[in-house]
Amino acid sequence: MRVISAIPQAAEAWPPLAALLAGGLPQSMLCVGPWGSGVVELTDLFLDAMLCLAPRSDQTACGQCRSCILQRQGVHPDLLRLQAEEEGKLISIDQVRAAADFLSYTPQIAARRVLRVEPAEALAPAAANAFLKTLEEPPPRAHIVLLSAAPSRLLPTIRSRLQRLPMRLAGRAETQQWLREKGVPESAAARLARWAGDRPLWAWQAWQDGVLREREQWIPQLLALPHEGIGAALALAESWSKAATLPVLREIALSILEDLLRLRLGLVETLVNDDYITKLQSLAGSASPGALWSCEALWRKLPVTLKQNRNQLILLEDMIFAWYAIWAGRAEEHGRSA
Amino acid sequence: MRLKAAQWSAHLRGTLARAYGLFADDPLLTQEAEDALLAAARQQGYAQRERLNGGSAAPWERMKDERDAGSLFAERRVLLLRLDSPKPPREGTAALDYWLASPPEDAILVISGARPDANTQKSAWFKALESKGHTLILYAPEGKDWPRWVEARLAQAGLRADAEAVQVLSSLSEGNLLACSQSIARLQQLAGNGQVDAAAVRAVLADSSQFSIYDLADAALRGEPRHALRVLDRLRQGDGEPTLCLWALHRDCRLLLQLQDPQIQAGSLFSKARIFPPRQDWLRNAARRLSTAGLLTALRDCAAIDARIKGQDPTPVWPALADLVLRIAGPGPSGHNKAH
Repeated sequence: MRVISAIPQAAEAWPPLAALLAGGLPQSMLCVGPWGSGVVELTDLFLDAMLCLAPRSDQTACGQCRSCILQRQGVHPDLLRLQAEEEGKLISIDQVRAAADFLSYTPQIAARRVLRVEPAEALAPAAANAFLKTLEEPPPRAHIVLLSAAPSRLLPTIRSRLQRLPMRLAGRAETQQWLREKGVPESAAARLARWAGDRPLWAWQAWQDGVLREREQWIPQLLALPHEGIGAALALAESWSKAATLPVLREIALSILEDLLRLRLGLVETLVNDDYITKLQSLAGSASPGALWSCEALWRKLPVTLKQNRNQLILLEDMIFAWYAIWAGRAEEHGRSA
Repeated sequence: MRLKAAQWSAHLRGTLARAYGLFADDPLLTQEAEDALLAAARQQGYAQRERLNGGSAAPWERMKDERDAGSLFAERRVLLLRLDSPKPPREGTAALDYWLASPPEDAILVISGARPDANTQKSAWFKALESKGHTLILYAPEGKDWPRWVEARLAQAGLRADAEAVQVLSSLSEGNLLACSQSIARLQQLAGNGQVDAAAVRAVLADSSQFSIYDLADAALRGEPRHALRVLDRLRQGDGEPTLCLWALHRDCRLLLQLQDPQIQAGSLFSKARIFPPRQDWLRNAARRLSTAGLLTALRDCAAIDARIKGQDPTPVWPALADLVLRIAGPGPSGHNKAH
């Protein structure tokens, strides 16, 4: 049974959702939040409550009625989970048509039929267009919930047909407290909360995977790179292409890049990697902002790029030299004026 | 005992051994060595020949049977066996051991196949063949030896060719021995008086040169843009894989950048990357010739080309590869801004 306490921000985030459940529930809804923020889990609690036959006074699911039992066993006849058939593939138009068909029948047990789409950005363009009519005017007693980590990638026509649910994200202090309660040592909890304060579940997973150890190894490598020769950069690319887990490396690189941007704007308090502050400050001054942004864009696009089965060594070299270029331009200018 | 290519014809005039191994990467070379051996064998009374491959039974089985069959009519014969892979299966080496332990008096065994690598040459079966019989490993002429080889073949065919004709013929059939020898045969038919000039060669020949991705990378490294583009063009028309072309060029870009880094020792880099003498010099020269900034751009091009190959970018791949080749092969900027 899903419990509300598994999500750190739930106590604060639930009341607005409960109000929706008590009063008029929208038919087409959008839930937005980064992966690992608890938004998916919160949405699932919300769906349980929508299907429950005898919700509790706080509008959460009772967990004992027939509907809740069926839901727990994953065989609820009034809930359809629409997702890509394979990891990394798109949701096809046929799947969307079948889902629209599902919604057109009257509910069997619960008070409503529910369609859950995750992630909404996996809808293929044709599938998204085929979905418009259903979203615009769902059949009576049918509700559609779309989950998205990147709503900007949805079609504007889809976005405009959805009501965005109030999804409160966890704050830094909340996440730190929650991690402490789960048994993470004080200093590590503080570090993780600084790093991913709005993504407590990601932080917890990262702690279990030993990501902080990798961080201590990789950040010095990244920060030393601008002062080293090209040979060292090439060697680093090679060792990373063999050993590093790229999504974690991406998180680390992005946090550093964003810190450099923060420092350039004078936002010292919100710095993520404040344990490397002196080094970061010395680098931020000589960084070229344009190159900083284009490097950030490369790292941000990495998950999409990786799906294309790219040559990892060539890819990492490209990223590392984009990193290199943040300071190379300045170094050249400096050399010329000297 | 191992024979050299130059000793072969002299060896064939003497008494033949009981077993031979003929190895070359080019089918023409093994074919011709085999033909010469068969002709010599016939003169010495081995009139019958038999191919062990391609029958209903496995060749190794047939080889064993032949060894056991006491020849009733004492007919002298040559047995030809072609190796499909450089590593014969266990029953194959067993059959070979069995044969070599006491070869029949009235048969010559001829094994032919692709050129064995260093490891294969150390294997037991190969050593046994070498000690009990003779092996001949032939190398295809490369580089400067190639026009000489073409010239010799023309002379052998009774054709008198001028220097330009030799040059055209060798460049149009580079790396493709079989095509070259067929072209010469065709020229022999067409040139009545035995005189061949460049125009005659061009009239008869299509471009049948064959190159590998290594030829592409080498030509670019040596700074021969024209030749490198031709190699790339041939690869594109043939079965060249863009991924492999990119792999070869990208590897060189990395090596060149590493060579330009003063903190990296060239010697240890070469031994770690297993780069051997002629390439070492080409790499050194190219590292001097090209600027670091240019090579970094080349590295970025590699990433862009990889994106094209993997379908992320719909623009065609080959022109981008040509740009990359030219970046490596072309003359760099005058070189004074090499230091980074």
